[in-house]
Formats: sequence, structure tokens, C-alpha cells
Amino acid sequence: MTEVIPLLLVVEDDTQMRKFLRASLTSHGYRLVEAVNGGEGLTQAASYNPDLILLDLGLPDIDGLVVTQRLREWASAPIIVISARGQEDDKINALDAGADDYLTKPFGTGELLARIRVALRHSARSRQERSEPILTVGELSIDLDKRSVHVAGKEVHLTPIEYKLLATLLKNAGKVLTHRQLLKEVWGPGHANNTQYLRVYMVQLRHKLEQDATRPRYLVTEPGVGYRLKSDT
Amino acid sequence: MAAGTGALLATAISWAAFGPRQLADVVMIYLLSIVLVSLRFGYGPSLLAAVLSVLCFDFFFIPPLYTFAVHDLTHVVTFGVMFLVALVISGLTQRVRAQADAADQREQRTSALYALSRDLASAKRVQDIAEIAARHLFDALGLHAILLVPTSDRSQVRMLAAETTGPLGDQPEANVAQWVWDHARPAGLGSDVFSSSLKSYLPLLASRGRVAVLSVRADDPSRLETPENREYLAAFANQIASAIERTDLAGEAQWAQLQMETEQMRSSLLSSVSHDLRTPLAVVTGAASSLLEDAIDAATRRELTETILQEAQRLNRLVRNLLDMTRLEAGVVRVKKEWQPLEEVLGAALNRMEEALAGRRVLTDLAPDLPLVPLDAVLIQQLLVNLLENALKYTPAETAIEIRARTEPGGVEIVVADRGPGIPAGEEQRVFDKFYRIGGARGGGVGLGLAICKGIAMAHGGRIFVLNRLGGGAEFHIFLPVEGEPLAPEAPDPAEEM
Repeated sequence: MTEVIPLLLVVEDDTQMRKFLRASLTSHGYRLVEAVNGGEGLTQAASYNPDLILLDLGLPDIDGLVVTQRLREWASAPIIVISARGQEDDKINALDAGADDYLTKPFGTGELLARIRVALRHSARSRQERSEPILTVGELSIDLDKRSVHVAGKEVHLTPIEYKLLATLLKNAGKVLTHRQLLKEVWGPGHANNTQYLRVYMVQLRHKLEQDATRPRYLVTEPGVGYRLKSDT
Repeated sequence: MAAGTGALLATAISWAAFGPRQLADVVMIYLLSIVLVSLRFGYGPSLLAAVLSVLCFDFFFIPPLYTFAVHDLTHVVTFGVMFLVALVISGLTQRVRAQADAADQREQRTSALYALSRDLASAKRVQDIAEIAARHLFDALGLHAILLVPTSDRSQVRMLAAETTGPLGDQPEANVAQWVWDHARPAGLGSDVFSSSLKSYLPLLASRGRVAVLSVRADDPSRLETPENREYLAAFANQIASAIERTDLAGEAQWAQLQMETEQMRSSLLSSVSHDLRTPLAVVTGAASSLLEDAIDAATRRELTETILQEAQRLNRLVRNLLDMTRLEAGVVRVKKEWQPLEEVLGAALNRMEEALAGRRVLTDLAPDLPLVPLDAVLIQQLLVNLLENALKYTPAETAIEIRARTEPGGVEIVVADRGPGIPAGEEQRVFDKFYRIGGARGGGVGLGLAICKGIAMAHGGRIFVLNRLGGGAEFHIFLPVEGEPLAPEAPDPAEEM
């Protein structure tokens, strides 16, 4: 493999949690830099320029949200925030401030690795120019040039808004998108609070694309946060 | 006036009836008029009537007529007797009158006291008592009353908040009130301490000692000085004191009851929590220490690791439930309602349970006309997850779990139904109680799952209940109110076409 081994920065104050992350990430071939608080995290990020940052939101010195904002002033590396249950607002704020995804404690290795893969792939894709006009997830595919959508080989007709919503989700496949982000992207910045509309369109989209809209395979709701187009990887 | 009228009337009647001949009858008529005047108008007028009667009698009936001169000396005796009799009659009728008046007043006061005690009986709080006391004291005695109650350490007395807004002139002097509280003796007007004050202060004493201080002011200060009024006031004070003591006792009883329940709950919580947390911890500890030994084959290693994972997940559920319950009870949970489709929340719940539900049949049936529902997605998802977890835990794996939703008057109803053993008769309410487990069943959880569901449903202004299904199984009904209309801005235009 000629591919460079990705370097991850872990910002986490709990020793055992760091130990677990170190064990599972290095054993899956990632290189690791560690920081025990926000201040150190910012310094490490500046000196190592990591490919991805795992950031605990409950740090002892600086609020995770502030760390996210400061990182986003110059760094484009994907940030995955790690939060405890009940920190829904912190999570959303971090995502809106530029974090790419989140993990809620406790989480398993499988979930951790999947999120990292999605984030790395996404950042790699956004670095290069769009090369592929056709995006595919499972049986779902979208042709961005022809503006057509197929489910299991059958074409599905979408309204312009539905199409735009789906395209946004597909381009960010696997990644969580907050209500605010989706509304901004699809309806424009003036409608960032019309979540009700978003929900109605999501329901319509599910009915067109999913076999069972109450058990969606692709268009998954993250309650209180937003939506995620589930990808298999 | 009355006396003059009486005398003149008697003169006119006598003149018409008897003329100046039958003097004995005329005297009777005069005496009658005096009795009437005395009955009706009291002592003073009746004396005047007596004097006027004697004069009229002399003037109109005693020769020489139409002069006050008297020729026959026996008539002077008649005048004297007539006047004396009038005097005695006046005195007697006066006494009858006074007695009737006193009885009247006694009756009024008794009924006022009765009205007070009746009103006080319904008072639940000291504030109510203060209001009732003030109203009755004003109606019965024209007194402006203010109640001062002790602070929680019982060292000082203060006015109730509502009273401090009253007229400044009625506000009691704090130092006098405090003295009364400290010494449990009356002070102020009508007593021998602080007697220059314009108000009277009474200690309110009940069977267990002092309970409050009553301050009263009269527009006419002399009213506070008559022994009769003071006695009456004391009777009022007694009633008020025992009413206050009653509410104090009720409050204490309630507090003791609450204390006891809290204590019971705490110990039941401790016993179930310590058991339920320790069991998985023990398994994890044991399995992990086994893994550290070298002589373990790969299959056992895997099995132990899986056990650790499962038990850790169980611990996670327990801790999550405990935290959820604590937060719901502490009122820290903010219900962030947003209008949204039920389908989406249900989808999110099923998605979260995907792994646990693997292989289990779940039938969903959502009515096509379901409206958007104002709900907190995170909480309702949790409610559904708890119900699904219960169904998984207590019902056979081969049976289906059914989830239905339909529109009901005033809201929507979600039904989660299973084909398990159902709920034992009579326990349909109690399953929603904290730490309640059917038949004291152990191993499942701490008995919080359904209590949390109830808490979440109530936080939404809705309700949850369970029925046993025909053909076996339990059926949980969740009703969520739909009030008002979702904000419906005109369909926003999509941004620039892509």
C-alpha cells in the first residue's frame, strides 16, 4: 500500500478512555498523538497537523465547543466529538461549529472505526475535485450530472427540494448533518430554523426511497440532532 | 320629641274619651304612654314623658282647667304618685330592655364566633387563616387585624407577605409584637405594657404553646378597652390560635409521612440498585480476570469477552435509567417540543434498537392521516425504546411486537402491543411506579423503565396506561396531546438550483 497511514489526534482527559482508544486505533493501523486537555490538544494539532481529531467535549480546561471553534479557525481536518448522554445541545453546537460527527459514550470499537473511516474518506473527497458524478450507497444511487435517482435500478422521481436534500445527504454519506446544516444547504441561510419543513420533506423522501419508512435503511434520524444517510462502511 | 308626643297623645285620647271627669282613667292612659315611651326610647325620654304627663294632666284635667294652679291638695298627692309610678315603670322596662339587648348582642357574638370557626375549619394554610381572621374581626368588632407568625426557628415573629401590602397605619410595631411573642402576654392598648400604643397585641396560645401574635387596631380606640370587647376578642383569638395549631400539626404530619416514604424509597432504591449494579459488575470482574489467565482456549476467551460486553451494556442501561429518572424527577429535563411526524421518532427508536431487535418480528401500522405532533424527539424515542426493551425482556422471542398509531380526539395514540404474559390483574397502575417489578422479579432492571415512560408522557401533558390484550399479551397506550397548529410558513423556496 502506498497510502500514507493516517495520523489521529486524541484529546481526552480520562486515562482509561485514552488507553482504550489507543489500543483499538493502533491495532487498526492508525498512528496516534494524544493530548490530555484542550490546551495541549490545540498545541498538538498545530505541531502535528493530524488527519483527524477525536475530541472529548468534557475537558477539564477549555470547553470542547471552544476547542472546536479554535481548531476550525485554521484546521480543516475532520473533528469527531465524543460526548456523554444528555449533552445534546453541546453536541449540536459542536457540529454547527464545524465538527464533522459525534460519538456518544459508551460506544464500541465498530462504531468508532466506522465514524473515523467515513470522516477520513469524506475529507479526502472534499480535497480533490469532484471526480465521480455518480454516488452510490447500497441500492441507492444518484447521478449528479443527469440529476437522476435510482433505487435498486429503478428510477425514482423527486421534486427539486427532495432531490437537493437527498444529494446533500448522499454527498455526506455516513456523516451526521444537523437540521441547521441541511436547512442552510437546501433552503438557504434564511431558513435555518424551519426544522418542521425539513422533517416533512424527509418523510416524503423516505416514502419514496425506503421499503419501510418506519424502519429506514438509509435515511436515519438522529433525534434532537439531525439526519444521517447510513452507509455500509 | 318622643316624650312630648306621648304626653300630648295621651292628653288627646283622655280628653276625647273621658273629659275632665273620670280622673282615675286619665291617669292610667298617661301611665300607659310612659310605659310605651320607655319601652321604645329608653330611660331619658321616659323620665321626660313622666314630667310632661304630670304637667299636661294638671293643665288639662285638674281644676282650675287650663292653668297649672292646683286648688285641691289631694291632686298634688296624685301628681306625686303618678310621677313615682312612672319612674318605677321606666326603671323596670329599662332593665328588661337592657337584658334583651345583651341577649341580642350575645347571640350576635356567638353566631359571629361560630361563623369564624366554620370558616377557619376549611383553612389549609396560615395565609388563609390570617385572611379569614382579619375579615371576621372587622365584621364583628370593626377591628383591623394583622397576624404575625413565627419564623421557622420560632425565634421571631413576622407578618405574612400578603399582609405587608396593607395600609401602613395598620402595620404592627415589630418590637411590641416581638415582646408579646417572647413573653406570651398581651401588650399595647388596653393592657399594662406598651399601653401608649394605638393597637392591642395578643399572644395566640394553643394547646402546645404560642403559635402566633395578633395585632388589632380599632378606629375608635375605646372599643379595645371595654372588658366585654376584650373578652370577645380573646374568644376570637382562641379560635384563631387553635386553627393555626391545626394547620401546623397537619403540615408536620404530612412532612413526617413524606419523610417516611422518601426513606422507604431510598432504602428500596439502595437495595435494588446495589443488587442490580453489582451483579453485572461481578460478572465483568470475573470474566475479565479469567481472561488474564494464560490457560484459556480461544473459544472460551471469545465467550468471556462477549459476556463482558453484554454485562457492560446492561450496566449502561441501568445507569441510563437511573439518570433519566433522577433528571425527570428533579425537573431538570426540559421538554423541547417540536412539531414532527411520529413516523420519524418511531423510526429512530427502532433504529436504535436494531441490534437488540435482530430477528424479532416488529409490525408497524401508522394511520395515514397522522398529524404532526409536538414532542421532544429524544424523550419520546426513549419512551419507545423502554417499551421495546420491556417487550424484548418479558415476551417470547417468536412472538411479534406490534406498534400502531392513530389519531384520537385531541391528540394521537401510540400503542405498543406484545404477546407476552400480560400484566397481572390489579397491577396495571403499579407497573408504572418507581422500582416496581411484577412479582418482585429480579434480573431485568431496577424497575424504572415504565416509570420513566410515565414521566415522559406526563411531561408532554399526555398519559400512558396498559391493558391486557384479548388472546394474551400486554398493550401499552400512549396518548400525546396535539394542541394548536404547527407553525406553517409559506413553503420556502429552495436555494439556487444545483
